[in-house]
Amino acid sequence: MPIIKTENLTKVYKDFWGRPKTRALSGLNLEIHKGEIFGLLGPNGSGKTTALKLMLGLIFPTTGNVSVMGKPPRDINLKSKIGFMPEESYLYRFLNASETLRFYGQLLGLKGKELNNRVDRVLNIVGLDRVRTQPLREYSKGMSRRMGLAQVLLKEPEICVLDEPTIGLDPIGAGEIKDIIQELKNKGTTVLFSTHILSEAEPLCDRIGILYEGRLIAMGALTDILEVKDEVEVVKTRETLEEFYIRTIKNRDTSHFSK
Amino acid sequence: MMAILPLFKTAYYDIKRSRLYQVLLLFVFFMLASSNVFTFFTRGEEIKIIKDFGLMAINLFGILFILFGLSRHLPREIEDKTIYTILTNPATRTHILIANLCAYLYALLIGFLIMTAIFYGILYLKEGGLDPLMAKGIILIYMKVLVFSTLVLFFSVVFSPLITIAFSLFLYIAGHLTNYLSSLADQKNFLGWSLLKGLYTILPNFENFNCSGSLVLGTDVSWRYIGLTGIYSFLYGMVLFLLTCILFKRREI
Repeated sequence: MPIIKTENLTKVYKDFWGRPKTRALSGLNLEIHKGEIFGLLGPNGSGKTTALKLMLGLIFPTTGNVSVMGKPPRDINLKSKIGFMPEESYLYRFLNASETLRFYGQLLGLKGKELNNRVDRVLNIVGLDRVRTQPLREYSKGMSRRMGLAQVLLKEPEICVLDEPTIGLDPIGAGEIKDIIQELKNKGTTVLFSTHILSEAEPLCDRIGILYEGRLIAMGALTDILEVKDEVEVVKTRETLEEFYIRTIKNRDTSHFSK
Repeated sequence: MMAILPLFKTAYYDIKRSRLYQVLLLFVFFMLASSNVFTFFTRGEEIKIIKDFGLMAINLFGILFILFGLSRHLPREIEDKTIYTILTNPATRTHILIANLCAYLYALLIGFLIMTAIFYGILYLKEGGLDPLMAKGIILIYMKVLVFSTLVLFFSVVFSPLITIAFSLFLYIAGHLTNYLSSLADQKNFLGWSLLKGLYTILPNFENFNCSGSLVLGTDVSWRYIGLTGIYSFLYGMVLFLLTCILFKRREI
């Protein structure tokens, strides 16, 4: 059974009067399996963040269904099993790192020694232990991203949803985040992340899906989709993810214009 | 339900450090402290003026604090998207509303206690005694602001802070005129009567809480009346809060 499943998922954003404004996602059918790293790729504005928000139950689908571990995404019992790192760190800027993690720990029902131990451990993992008493408003973008990740790791989640996890980070910071993602996979955590930086998706992902103008235009295991076959289905070469991505989107554009 | 306490504590911490809360407390402190100045204009009625001025200042603090604080709190959480990180944890939208409202009412209570202490301090220096009627007036003002808070929260889940402030202020004024609406209805035809009676029923009746004038003059208000007004404010607030929860559950964030 897939751990996350979407069926014909469509999202149309409406204005205050309920008139349709933007079709962000059209008929998304996706299955994400336990323990895999799934990369949701696509250019800016392709509907990646909308898809993630729908899977987290933050916004409502216009049509279609989402299920996470067989339950609707807004089920409160699911929330402690899913970690979400948004594309920007949406945390209270007046709290410091320690207070922030204690706050989220308390939301999870953690207390006492267990809470303290988890806060200490997570701050060590993301390398913010030395600045734990500094308010978040004084953090650099990179530090804020680490803090966002710390909030996810605190949960010890079964599913991690990461929206553009390395955006705004220097190469060292991005590398560290990629190591953490790999470590999560090794522990059996399912990781779903969105990105438009292909070089970070290729070494990490088991499977990818490419979204373009709200539609899923390609999906599969990296090993399968990067193989270029000739007419008699004999493997000739192997594309890079970047080559595959550009070819798929260009084909889509051509077919779109020819209509 | 375990999510409410950390949400409440964080919201209260945010309120406590907000400039609005601190500035309003300071402003009312100066208002209370300077109430003595106005007694020069009305010789022989110093105590009455101080009492009137004190109750008015406390009422003003409550209304302004809720109007400019609570109207912006939830929209800011949505705009800053901090609500996303909260909602992906075991917390619901209703938990957020309960925590925010309770944090504001708690901060209001603390503010009222501080101001009551200052107010009584000034009265003691002037009168040499403590008038229990003023406490009744302050309790009634607190109940009024409680109803007003649910009204502001209701609008803030749908509208921007500016529109929330405008609507809340309009209903605050209209809520003081409901008795007038009722008497006006009796002079109208059926359509006008139904409309005005409907408004009279729906709008909060803030005049119920408005006993400051008589309390200042020394006319007592029974504890039974205060109890009944308390029940009214609780029920009105509760109904409005439930409507707010229903609206917020369906709102796109």
